[in-house]
Amino acid sequence: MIKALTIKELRESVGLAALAALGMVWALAGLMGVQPLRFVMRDVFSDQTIAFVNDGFTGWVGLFVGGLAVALGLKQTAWEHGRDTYYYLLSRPIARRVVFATKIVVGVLLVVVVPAVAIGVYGFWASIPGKKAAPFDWSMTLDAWKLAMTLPLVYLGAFLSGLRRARWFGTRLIPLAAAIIWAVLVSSAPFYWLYLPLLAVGYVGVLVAIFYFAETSDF
Amino acid sequence: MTDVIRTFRLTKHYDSRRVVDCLNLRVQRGQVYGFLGRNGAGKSTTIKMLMGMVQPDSGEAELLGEKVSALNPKTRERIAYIAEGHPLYNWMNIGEAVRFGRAFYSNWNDILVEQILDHFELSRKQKLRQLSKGQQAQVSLALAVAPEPELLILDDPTLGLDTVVRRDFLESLIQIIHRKGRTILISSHILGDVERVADRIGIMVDGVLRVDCSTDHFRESVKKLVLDFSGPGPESVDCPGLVNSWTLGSQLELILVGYDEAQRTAVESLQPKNIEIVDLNLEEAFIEYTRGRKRSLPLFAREESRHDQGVDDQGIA
Repeated sequence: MIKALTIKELRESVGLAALAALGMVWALAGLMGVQPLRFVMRDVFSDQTIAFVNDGFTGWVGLFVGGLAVALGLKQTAWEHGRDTYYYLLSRPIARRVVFATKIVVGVLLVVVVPAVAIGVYGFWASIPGKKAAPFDWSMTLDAWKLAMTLPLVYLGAFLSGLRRARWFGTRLIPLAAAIIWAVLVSSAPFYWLYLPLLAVGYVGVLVAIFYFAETSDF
Repeated sequence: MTDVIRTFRLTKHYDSRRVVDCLNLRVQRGQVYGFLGRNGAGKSTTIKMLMGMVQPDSGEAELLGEKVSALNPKTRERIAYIAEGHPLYNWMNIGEAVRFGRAFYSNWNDILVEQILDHFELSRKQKLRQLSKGQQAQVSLALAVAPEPELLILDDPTLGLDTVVRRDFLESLIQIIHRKGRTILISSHILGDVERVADRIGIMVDGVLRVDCSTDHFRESVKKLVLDFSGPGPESVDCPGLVNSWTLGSQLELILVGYDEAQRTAVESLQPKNIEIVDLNLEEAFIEYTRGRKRSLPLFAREESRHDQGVDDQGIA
């Protein structure tokens, strides 16, 4: 049954993930100097940059994968509310926490896989001598990885916003806003020994809230 | 007989409004229970509480002897639920919906699903989003009965269906009921639908279960009395079992439950010229029982006053 749930979640999410992936392909093509794109977007992409350091790669990840995180989190929850399909899904003979855990695992995987592939492809390209007139070392990708590890927190915030009903849209988005603020604060932590525990606190907090609301909310 | 559904003082508020009020409901094994009430009476909220979709503010509910709040998946396999509007994943085709549903059950009757889909002439390749409301209801029914549930809970399953589809749906339901003595709780605000299948009814009025008896008993209990007076009828009546009353000129109409000697004495004490006792059919009894206080519409009042002034509309085209 978990397989069936996973397939269902993937089928429902793959469209959004594909859109984000397309966005990243476009950004990578620009960063890698694909000529047609460079002609159209000559002011956006530049040759005078260092890969992952000042080329705006993390900005593109933030835009496309951040968008995916928000849209996916809301779609997996509010969309089911809107179509009343929770009544069908949650009356299956399976524990509610398993239903929501499956949704979250699929969502987090998609939000992590898209930037991870982008970092891997772009890093591999930048590491090939002669491709980019700038030095490259894999340690330069650390900030991008940091972002990729932080974006699932935004996804979980959106997921909680979609799950938790409120009187009006503004208050419903409080968990998403809180997750974004926490993600920005965590990302700006200057040391990894500070970044990792703060990130873990964020994940634990939002996951506890999600499972609490999943068990106690009215659907 | 054992209770398959049992609630104890189940209560739910939405804001300050009490939508279900201390509900004590018992449905016995093998019973087909018609759960009736007007829109907003609390039927859907009760069913959602039974299915664990809505948390009660107080009270408890049990299904198949287990508390709803701690219902284990094995027990849930024995319960089918069709929610209002037949929500399914519209991006799936019927075959995918069947495969998705089957994945959750250890006991799944593929032959029965095939029979129902064949009966309704539904192809597995049809997308759910392209089906009519009636066809979606038929798919919902097939998916609900495929695991051979002991208990079926149907929340207004005929809502939005046309008369023919409704009849088809109910006839299929009757066939399903006759298999293995299932227990069914079916909610509706259309009494005619429930009358065909239910052997017991419960009527919710403003969140309170006002009636819980056999269908026949309810039909026989509710009577309409038409009292003729020589002058204007009395404004108010004090009578045990009085559900509703209204005055129409020199006539006073009363809706009474369980018309007996005490009520007859009370009615006769009003000294009417004539008393007519009208037997109601089930639908009329339900309507009279659940409607609020009957009042004249202002439009009618205006028409009356025009007639009083001698205005004759017969010449107006």
